[in-house]
Amino acid sequence: MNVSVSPLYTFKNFTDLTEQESDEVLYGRNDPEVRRWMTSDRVISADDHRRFMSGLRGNPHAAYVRIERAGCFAGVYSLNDLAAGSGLGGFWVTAYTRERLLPLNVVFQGMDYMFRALGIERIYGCQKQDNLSAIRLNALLGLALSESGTACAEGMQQIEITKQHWLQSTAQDAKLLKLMNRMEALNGTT
Amino acid sequence: MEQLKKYNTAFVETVGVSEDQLPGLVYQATSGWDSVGHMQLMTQLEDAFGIALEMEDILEFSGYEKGMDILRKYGVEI
Repeated sequence: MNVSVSPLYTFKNFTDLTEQESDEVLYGRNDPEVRRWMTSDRVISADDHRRFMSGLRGNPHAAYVRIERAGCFAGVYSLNDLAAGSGLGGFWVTAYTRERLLPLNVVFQGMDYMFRALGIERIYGCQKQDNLSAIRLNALLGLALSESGTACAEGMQQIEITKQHWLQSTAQDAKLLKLMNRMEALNGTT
Repeated sequence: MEQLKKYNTAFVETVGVSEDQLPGLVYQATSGWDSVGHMQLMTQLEDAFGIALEMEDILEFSGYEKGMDILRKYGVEI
């Protein structure tokens, strides 16, 4: 199984979600096991969620994608502040995805979709200097420290990756692909 | 002794703790042993001992000592 072209994964822009899919995103995001990993752990109300979803329509500066694995909702990858093909990356994965040790795979798929399907040229972000979890995940995905661009808050480091680096390095990284393929094989298609 | 060294090395390299911190260490007790660290630890142990862990055992691998019990099922005595 080659994870980088895996048919197991499907993607849908938030602006195209059915009501049921949208509700599933809200419930997934409000799961305490998901909120504990977020910057803000507040519960999002149904009204706020609907306002947010409708605000995305006609907004050229944001792209939110719902990711499914084997037909099950697995997580969300997002880009904000989109301008000139460059965007601020973000993601969250469902509690089930985390339980099944698939976060790396789901985030990889989200980024791959942004670069290949949406044609994004650069993804950047900020990471806490002492957040070993985030630093390791970002390093595995090829996000490297950036010396220019948008500044991050104190105690944070700016990181970035270009589409070229993604296609030529991260998506070809034998060690990373082996790790992800192993988890895909262990999880099967259900 | 060689087996213990391989076992500990896998932890030190993937979870990012020193050997003296290993006894009693449990999953998610340190930021280095998160879900990604767990994946890396499992694949490193598979490579080090030439085994293929079952998903059930990977999910039950909840701590340093528990892992030794699980590996015993695969003929790995530590």
